[in-house]
Amino acid sequence: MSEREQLREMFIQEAHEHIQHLNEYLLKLEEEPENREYLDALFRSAHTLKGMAATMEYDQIRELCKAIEDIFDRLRKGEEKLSPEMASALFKCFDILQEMVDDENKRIDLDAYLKLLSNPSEAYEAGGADSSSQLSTKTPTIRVKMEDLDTLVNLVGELMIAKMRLDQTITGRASDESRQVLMSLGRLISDIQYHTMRLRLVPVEQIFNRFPRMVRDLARSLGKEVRLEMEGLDIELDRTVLDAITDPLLHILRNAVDHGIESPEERRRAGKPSTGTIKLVATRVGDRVAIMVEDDGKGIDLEKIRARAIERGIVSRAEAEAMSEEDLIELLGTPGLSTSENVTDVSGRGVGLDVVRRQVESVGGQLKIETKKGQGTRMTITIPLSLAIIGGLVVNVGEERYILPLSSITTTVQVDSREIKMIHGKPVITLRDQVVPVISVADILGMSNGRNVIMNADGGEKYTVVVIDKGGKPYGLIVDSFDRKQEIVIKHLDGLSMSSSAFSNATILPDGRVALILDPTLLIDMHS
Amino acid sequence: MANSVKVLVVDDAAFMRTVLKQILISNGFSQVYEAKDGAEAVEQYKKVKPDIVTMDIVMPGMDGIQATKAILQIDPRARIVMVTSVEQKHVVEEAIQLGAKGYVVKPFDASTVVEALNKVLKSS
Repeated sequence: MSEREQLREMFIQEAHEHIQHLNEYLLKLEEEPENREYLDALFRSAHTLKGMAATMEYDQIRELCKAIEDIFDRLRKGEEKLSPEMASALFKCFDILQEMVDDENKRIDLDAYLKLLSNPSEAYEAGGADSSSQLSTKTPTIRVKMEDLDTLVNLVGELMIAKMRLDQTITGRASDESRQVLMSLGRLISDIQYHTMRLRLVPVEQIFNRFPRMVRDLARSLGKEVRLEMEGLDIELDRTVLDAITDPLLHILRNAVDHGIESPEERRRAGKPSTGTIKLVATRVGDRVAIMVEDDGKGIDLEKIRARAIERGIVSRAEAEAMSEEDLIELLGTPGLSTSENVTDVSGRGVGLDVVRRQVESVGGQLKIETKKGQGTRMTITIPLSLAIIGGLVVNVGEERYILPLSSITTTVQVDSREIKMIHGKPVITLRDQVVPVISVADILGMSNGRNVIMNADGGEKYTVVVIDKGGKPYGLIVDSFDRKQEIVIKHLDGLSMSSSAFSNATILPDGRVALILDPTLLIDMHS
Repeated sequence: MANSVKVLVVDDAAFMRTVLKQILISNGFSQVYEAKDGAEAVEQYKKVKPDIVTMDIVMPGMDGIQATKAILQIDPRARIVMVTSVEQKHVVEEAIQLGAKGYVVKPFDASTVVEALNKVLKSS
């Protein structure tokens, strides 16, 4: 790397930090416009960035920073007051700064931005409210190619499989000593596995950081007052998982601002503070992470959903009338059901809740929706920490062995055929007072030699049922038997044409055989 | 070219410290020390006893002016060169009145920095 390239690397990294600072402190400043500490921090970041840009001979960045610095200086001296328009103009400038930092050849219409800063109210209106271009955030770290990490994870996976095979080969014939060596080897491998997984973990902060801006801009364009409170920013997730839930989270947040939080007048009429609050909280629950988005808005009008579902022919009137609140919430995930009264550009931009649910489930996660009319909505995404190695249950169906991810399994039960009842022509069992639909895996996969549900009122037939959770509802999967829980190293099935779409991936079992990993969600969707 | 002059570079931006350090090292100043704010500058000054200091002005916590004051109180003969941007002329004047020995304006090139430093080193 040449000296200049090295400097540019440093410049980019530090410039990113300053732009991040600018965004953060301006958000804070909007809450407390007189706060001297925030003003000083903003001034310093603009000033430092300007100096750095001058040294790199990035004239446009330098000039824009100079104008920004001047504004903060005037605010600091009390010569000017921060208007919402000015804040918006500044945010726009931060965004373009970011782009210029990332691409040193980028040239902008500098005058337009300078004009925007000197007269934000006019320019803002003229420019429209679309300042939602997202900020990419980077924290100072060393960069490693994802590819290299993936290779490492794969190798560790191979290592684990080799170890399991070794275990199996020498079982019963090993001396005490070799067994001990094998045990310590096993521990070492788990350590390596753990640390390799850790390498891929990044704090949720990396994607959460852009949300305050998004929420702010959106709220402003809709004429709403919204405060976003974030917690658990240091909770870590696998990079791939985090990427996979970014879009669903964005959508949920947009929904919360657009459909959840009411207009200030409406809120006042309802006896609520005019500013709505959205809480975004990440917590670690065992080997999973829960991300909750909670708003204190008007909640989802379930009666409207009931009416809409009938209107759209999704369910019959009789069916709809028999539906409980939970059933109605479940309906939210159905394609083609939008409950917003007037279609705003916000809802048009995104995907429906059904897509959100599917995206979350595609990475082994679950989406739970709770809502109280007039009080707000809470959506919780629960996802596995990592996707590369999961806990799995080996189940036997016919001649085949499949893996079911432990994360989706609630329990396993043995039922007698007497206990299987038919409701609406579908087999169900009762489990702790809950009606659980049961499905034969062999049946869905079109296997003739597997276990099918046979109604037998006399009883005597035993079924092994693995109860899984799909979107908060239990389903029972009938299998022939199951072996044991074990660590499963996921092998992606890219490019493999699958006869069935119920498999997301595969793994290699200790005996060297390949086993497909069943995606319970897809399996149930195939069935219904 | 190699000399034994100890230089303390004070700047809150790691990038600026690196730029200055590279300039200094490639011009024979082999002993370069760094501080990232005023407080650290004072600490380092006591510890390293540098022959000359380059001082950024806008820094969090203790800024360059306060640090200049503090260092001159410890050592009235301290050689401090302010590193500044154009529009801070009045601040530089204040620093010179306090006892700073010179200044360099950002953006600077290698020769400006080296000349300014050498001038201050020679004159006192």
